[in-house]
Amino acid sequence: MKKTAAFLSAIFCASAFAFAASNPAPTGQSLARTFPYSMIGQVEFYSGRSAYVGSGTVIKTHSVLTAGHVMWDPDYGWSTHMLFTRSLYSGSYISSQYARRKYILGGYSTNANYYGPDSVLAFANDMGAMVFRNTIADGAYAGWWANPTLLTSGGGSKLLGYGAEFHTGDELLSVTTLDAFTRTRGGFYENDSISVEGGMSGGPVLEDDGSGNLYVVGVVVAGSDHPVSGGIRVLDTKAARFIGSYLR
Amino acid sequence: MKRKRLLVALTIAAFLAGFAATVWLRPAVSPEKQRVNTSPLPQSSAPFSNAPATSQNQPRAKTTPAKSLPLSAQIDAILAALQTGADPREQLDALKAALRDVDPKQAIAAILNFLASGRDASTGLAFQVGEGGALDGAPTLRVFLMDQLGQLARDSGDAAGGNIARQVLQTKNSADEWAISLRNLAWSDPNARPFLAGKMREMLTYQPWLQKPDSGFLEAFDVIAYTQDPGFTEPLADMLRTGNPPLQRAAAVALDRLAETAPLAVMNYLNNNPGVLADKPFVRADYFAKADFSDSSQRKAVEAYLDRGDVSVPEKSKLISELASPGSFVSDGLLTSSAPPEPTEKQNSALLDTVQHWIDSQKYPHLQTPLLELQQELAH
Repeated sequence: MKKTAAFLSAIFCASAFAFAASNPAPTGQSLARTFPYSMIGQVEFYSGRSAYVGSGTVIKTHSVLTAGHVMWDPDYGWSTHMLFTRSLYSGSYISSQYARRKYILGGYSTNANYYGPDSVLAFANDMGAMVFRNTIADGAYAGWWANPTLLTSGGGSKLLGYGAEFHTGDELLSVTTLDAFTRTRGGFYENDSISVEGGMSGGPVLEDDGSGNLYVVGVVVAGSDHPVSGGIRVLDTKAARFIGSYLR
Repeated sequence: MKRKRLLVALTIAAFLAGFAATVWLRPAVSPEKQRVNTSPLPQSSAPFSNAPATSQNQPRAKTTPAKSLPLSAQIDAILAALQTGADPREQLDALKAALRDVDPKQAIAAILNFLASGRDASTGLAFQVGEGGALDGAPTLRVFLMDQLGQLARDSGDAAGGNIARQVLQTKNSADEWAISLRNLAWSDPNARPFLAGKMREMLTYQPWLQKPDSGFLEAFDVIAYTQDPGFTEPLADMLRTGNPPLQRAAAVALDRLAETAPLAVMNYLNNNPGVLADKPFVRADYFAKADFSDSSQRKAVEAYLDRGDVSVPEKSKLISELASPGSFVSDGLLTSSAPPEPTEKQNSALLDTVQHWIDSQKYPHLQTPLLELQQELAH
């Protein structure tokens, strides 16, 4: 099934690889099954009559953090059949579960700041989450840290997700920034030293706390081909309240 | 200019043969689940830092009004400072604290005195709603003071908040002032919903505000969810189709929240007005997915929708699929709390029982496949 996603490669061509930027590459199954990477999974869903893939991270015992545009579309409304497959790698996975509740962080004016699919105003508020009936990872979850300054102080941030443009969508991909992120607007930050690909939407941005512990500090939400860049929605105080208030 | 794009990947081309063709959802992954040792439970999330300030203004001079001044003099000092480009956040925070330091009647009197003067100054901040409907950002000193007035009046039981609101709502000078006045009046008078609905309808037809909707205008859409008036469904649906992008999005969020706060009324309205949202069938289906099946009236409204001949099978299938995992927009609203709680066991049982009955009785033969999928998802 997911092999069909490769057809998008023809649409977006290989432009992203023509620039001097780090490109997403498979982590290997061993790393993908190591905490906190093992908290990442693929999100399959329907929007309208079409099926898509995105990514997400177990952020609480019953909840997965992802991108808002994975959850909702102006023409088709809420996405359905949202299946989270944790630690999918080359056909095997640890667990798989359908979402029971969906949330998008954003209200009347924040969501209304939407001037098209490439609008930074939309990406600035592009965060969502799914809540599940059962624990997703036996009670484990990735640590998170609402601290945007971590992203602007240098490279080394890791963006992860299930890219399905230039890869199969069955493997966890990772790309590490070479430079610091730049704040574009609100909670939307960009980095020109990396490319990201379709299917990584909703995947985590991980930062080291200086002691070797990796924390989720953002969500992959956008990419640009010309010039190459990756865009994320950072965890800030609003995101922290969202996680604290609505997710369990 | 960068051309940004969303990063979901399409897995199947559009136009599958209806939702029955959902075999892909049982992905071709290896059937064996590799249970790896789960990582040790992480420590609870690290403390989060305050996000950087969002103002895009140039740095300004910082001055703070002397607390020893009378309140009216402090407000005048801030007005003067704002007019010279002083940092608004520090100024307004100091004033907020000063207003809380005195007797509420005294603070309210000082605010009323300033509002009556007609003076004002821009803060350079965006209209931003925070916790409990209080503003995190006010674009003008008047809006800031109206926000403070509303909170002080509500907390002290003073009628001034509602009285001033009614005055402001007589003339359309500022959408931001209207938005905060609608909130203040709702806080002041629990019986004001019909009046608020009428004023909201005025807003939705006032072209100058519609053509260039600012944040306050858009945040006022929360009044629609507060009034629970299903009559807003049609104008919002029109706005979804013909409004500019900010209006379309605000209308979408408002419709979703209206359907959450008044599910039966919205479902009945949509059933009685079959043309409404007919051009957004999958969005319309979402509003029926807000139903509480433990309420027989709501269950019957859903059944009436599923019985409709003008609604396509894919749209009905969308409703059934959405029942498995309803969605909500979450934000700080001027008047409504964001999202309903997760369904209770009673509600879940009622949904499961209804689905089982529909399947067993073949009540909807064209929908057996999505119903069986729903049953499977609910049991998952």
